[in-house]
Amino acid sequence: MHRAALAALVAVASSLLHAPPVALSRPASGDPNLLLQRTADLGGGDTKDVLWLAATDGSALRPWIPGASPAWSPAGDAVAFSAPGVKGVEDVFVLPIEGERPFNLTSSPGAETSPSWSPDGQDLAVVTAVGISILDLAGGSETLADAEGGAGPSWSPDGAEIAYVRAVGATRQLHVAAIDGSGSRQITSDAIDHSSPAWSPDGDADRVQWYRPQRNRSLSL
Amino acid sequence: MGTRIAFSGTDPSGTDLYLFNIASGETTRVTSMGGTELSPRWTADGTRLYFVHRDGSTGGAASVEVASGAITTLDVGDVDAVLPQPCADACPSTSFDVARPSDLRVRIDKTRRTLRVLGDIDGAGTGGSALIKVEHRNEGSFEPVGRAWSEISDGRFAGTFARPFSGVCKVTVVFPGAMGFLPERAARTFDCYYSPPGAHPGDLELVTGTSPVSGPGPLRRFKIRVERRTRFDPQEFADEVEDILYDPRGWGGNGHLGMKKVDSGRAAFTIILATPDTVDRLCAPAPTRGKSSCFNVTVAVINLDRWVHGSPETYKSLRKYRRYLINHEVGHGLDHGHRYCIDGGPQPVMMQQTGSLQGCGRAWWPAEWERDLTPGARV
Repeated sequence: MHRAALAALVAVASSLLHAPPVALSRPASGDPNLLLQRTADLGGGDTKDVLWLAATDGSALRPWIPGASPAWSPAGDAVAFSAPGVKGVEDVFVLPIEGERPFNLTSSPGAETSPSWSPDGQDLAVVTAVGISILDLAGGSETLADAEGGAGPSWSPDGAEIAYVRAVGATRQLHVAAIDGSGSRQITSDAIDHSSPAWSPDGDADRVQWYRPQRNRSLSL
Repeated sequence: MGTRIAFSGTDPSGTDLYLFNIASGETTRVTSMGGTELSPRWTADGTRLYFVHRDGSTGGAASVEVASGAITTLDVGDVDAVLPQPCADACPSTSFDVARPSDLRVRIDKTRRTLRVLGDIDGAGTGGSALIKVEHRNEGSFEPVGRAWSEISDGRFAGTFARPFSGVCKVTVVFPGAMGFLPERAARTFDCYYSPPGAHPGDLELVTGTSPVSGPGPLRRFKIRVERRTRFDPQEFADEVEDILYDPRGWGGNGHLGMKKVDSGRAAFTIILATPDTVDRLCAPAPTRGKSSCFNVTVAVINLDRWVHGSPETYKSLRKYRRYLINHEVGHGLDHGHRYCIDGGPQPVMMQQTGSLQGCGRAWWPAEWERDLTPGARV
């Protein structure tokens, strides 16, 4: 996929995003929860990916919603995940934990999966047919990391870069792309096949904004 | 902090968790559990990684303290991902209402021909769909009866199915497309029959009372029994059978035989209405497979499934099919074997007409020539 064409698509999508970011009061506190993805047996050979919640020690396990490749928002107040959308392909949904219905962030003919939140909770990196795209939840611009063929995006704690894996020869290697579009670089080159990168946090919660669902918004990637 | 990338790495020794230090470029192994460790996710304070641990075909969740390598496993069953909520000091509450399996109630309304499944799930509200599947046990294994989608409105959903008539039925409700509430399956098993308390398979109730003889001709006494598990009113079944056997168009008509229903003493044959499982037992070794009726030595065994549903492939009219069924099986009781259709003229009722007509026409009364061939009948 050519970057120019994608940039044009992104520009169209950006025009749909005009809701301003809204700071919310912090919800009631509690112990951290675990979000789990499990496979539900629907019978007759049918299965479905389902997200569950549990207490940190694994107790109080309870089903939540169908979905796969989940990601907590940085404040822990919403979950992004992928699930079959109305067109039957994987779309990325966001569901605030207060129990609102999830809404579909993407409605392209292609699949979008594996969302990863930016540290400020305002953007999502997702895997698309062409690589890794960035959805700006707050209504600003969108950029595309230079990461064609990349998978498993994970945002750096300073929000400036995205780590991902991409095949190099017979193995997948770690790469880092700057979200300002200035380029991507391979950071590992050993015999290990790398998957599921997860950038360590830096513990700075100040810039986290509480998530707020905004309706009537649809991206067409 | 912020300087390391955890990942799941595969080399010839297996799949383990690693840390890549961005500044030094060094990769260090974090786990070596002997199985497969996947999908690491950091806690908010960066001290611990949660991950999926697979050992053979089973998977589970665990966490590792990165500094010490100490591993804690979690009793949450097989998982594909596990993510700690990223809030170091205080987390938003997740105490929203989630319907649990115990909040799901399923009621089964049964009529003679249908099963209506009525579901009620607390806290589900309106929206989403439920998939209702009904199966029945046939010769030991469950076979599908049908499946139906139902929109969920105010927590309620419903589906209607043709009533199966063999053994135990199972209803499974699945919420595959549901968002925001119970996303798992829930199964209920129930008895398809209107089983009165204490009724066990093969518990046959004799229809009491004696009817007058149908007419002149050699006497043929018969009895009628109804298996209690069918929940059919024995008298109602007997009335319909007697109407058929006493009809002038039937085997006894026109003075061929004197048919007489009795409830004691000797009888030429007994007509039994039975559930499919019991039919199979009473008909053995005939391979009725829960689907056919039979005549076996002295009993005409009428399959409840056929009595209720008929044979839609061959008869649109249930009334006519029932006439065929009784006349055909009683024909065996009068020593008739099977016949194939003939060219021209009235067709024989002793031709098999359940499921297929084999290229022949229908006949639900015995042909006059057929009645004349009844052993011992007055011609």
